Amino acid sequence: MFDFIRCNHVKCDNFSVTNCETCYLHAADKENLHHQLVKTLTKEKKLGSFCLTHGEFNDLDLSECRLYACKFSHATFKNVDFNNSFIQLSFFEFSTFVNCTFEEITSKYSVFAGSVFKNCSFSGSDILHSNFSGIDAENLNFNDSDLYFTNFSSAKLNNVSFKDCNLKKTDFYLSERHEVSFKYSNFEEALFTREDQQ
Amino acid sequence: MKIFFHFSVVGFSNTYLIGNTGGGDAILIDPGHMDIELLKLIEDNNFYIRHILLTHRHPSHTEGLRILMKIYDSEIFANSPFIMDYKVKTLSDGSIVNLSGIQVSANLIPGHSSDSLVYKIQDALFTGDVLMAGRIGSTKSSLSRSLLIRSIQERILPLNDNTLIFPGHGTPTTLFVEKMFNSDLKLV
Repeated sequence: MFDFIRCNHVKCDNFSVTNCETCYLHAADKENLHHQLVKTLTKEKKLGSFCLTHGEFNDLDLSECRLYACKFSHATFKNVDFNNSFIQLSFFEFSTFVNCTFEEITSKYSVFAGSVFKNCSFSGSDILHSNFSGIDAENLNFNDSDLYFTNFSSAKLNNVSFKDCNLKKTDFYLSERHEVSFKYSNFEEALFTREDQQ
Repeated sequence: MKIFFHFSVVGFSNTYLIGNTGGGDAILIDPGHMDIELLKLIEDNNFYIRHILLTHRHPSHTEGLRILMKIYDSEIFANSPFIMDYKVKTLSDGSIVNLSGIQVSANLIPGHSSDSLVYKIQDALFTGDVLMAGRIGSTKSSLSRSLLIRSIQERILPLNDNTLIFPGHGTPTTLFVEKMFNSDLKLV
């Protein structure tokens, strides 16, 4: 797990970037930090216990990456390929994902809550015990995925496809759904009401 | 510090293993069920369960004690003096203890049960059945629900928004996510 060290900038509550004294927003040399992280991710394909919030990542191939206990909250990802990645106990809350692919990933105990997803695909993935509550999603594809115990409560789902998914204990309480397809999925085992949750 | 997450289909509960990098003495929170996967998680990371923290006495958070206590010589901490015939070191509201080299503070948040403790370790909050992603714990009466909501309002919501929340059931979350999207808290 990343160290919970706060940014030393006055009145900043963000966690500092791993091995730095400040958060990314207050880093003196953002460019270098960003470069080092991208280099690690694209070359070594493995990152553990790392914190870098509010970053911006464009046009990257992060396929087959292994992320454990990482914090990338409030980040922006555009045209990023996460295919076949393994993401565990990592935090991406309140981030923006545009044209990103997460196909055939494994996500366990990870948090994407409050994020915006546009034109993204998670098809063929195992997304277990992951938190997508409050996401704002448009044109998002979860087809052929296992979503056991994953939480979409209070999410806004527009043109989202859950075809042929395992939805056992998948939580859709108070979600807004427009053009959402559950074709061939066990939606009767998903949770849509307070009574279902009990 | 490392945090490991273990899910058991028995009781659909989460157990958390917390220890220092490199192994050694470690803390286990809410062993609802002891299975081979959890044992492997402990042993593969060279941990010895020296301390067990229970968020409350309900079986889905404590049943694993029977096997665990046969394997490890652990001290149990909770708000009740005895749980399943095991002697417990009682923690009360505001207790701060150093366990396995890790500082743990406990806060009593009654409502779901009278003995519900939440444990804070650095910026991680282990909330048991007090606060979960998208909802608060179930209660037996409207009075208990009011007590639970008030306790959360007074003791948890003032914490830093970046606090990571690890509940007894369901997915991890953060305090700010819950402030934004937990419909039960919007009634506060």
